Amino acid sequence: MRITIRSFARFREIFGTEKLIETDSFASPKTVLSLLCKEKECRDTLFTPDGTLHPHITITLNGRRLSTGETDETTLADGDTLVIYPPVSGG
Amino acid sequence: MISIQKDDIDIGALIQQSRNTHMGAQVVFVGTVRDDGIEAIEFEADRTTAIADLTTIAAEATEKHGLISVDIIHRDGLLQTGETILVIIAGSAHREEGFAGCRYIIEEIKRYVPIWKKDITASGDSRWHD
Repeated sequence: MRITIRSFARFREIFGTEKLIETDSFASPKTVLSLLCKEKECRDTLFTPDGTLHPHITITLNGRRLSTGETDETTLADGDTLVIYPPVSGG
Repeated sequence: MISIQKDDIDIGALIQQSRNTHMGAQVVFVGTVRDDGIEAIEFEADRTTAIADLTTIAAEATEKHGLISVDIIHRDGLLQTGETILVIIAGSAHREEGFAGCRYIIEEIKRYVPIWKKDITASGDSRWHD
């Protein structure tokens, strides 16, 4: 299945504005994000040394923010869009 | 009005448009680009989600603080020092609700609305805020 990943701000400069990831069925958001990161520097941007997503990163699935548990447990469907936000700084 | 836009904001016109005869107060917050040794700030937003979030925050502020009207306009793109970043207008019957509602709105924007800023120095160096 194909999942679109979009990024903003600092993450856009690292991962690009939009990428299409091909993955097996039943993948979770965390699994797909790990496929985005091949180099260590890239992985360290999203994941802690023990492999969990950094808590300051926000992930949305088709426009809905995911909780920490949901990034591990949600099953994605073909055509879903994940967006990764670095910490915000508006206002 | 809830908006994210590149154009400058006519604050006087916005205050007039927002006002009605039920209000006894309009609390206005204006965020500007401060010169911290920088030349400009580049703002980037996920506009679709940010507009939805701002609309939610305005509704919450209205409900919690009894506001009569809420306007939130945030700019994106490259803004020089001294330029307007954000205008919030909280219209209310009395000043207490207006101040509380306006404060609620700016704190919620800073907490989670997907807008980011990157400092640009005179030498061309840049750095995203975390």
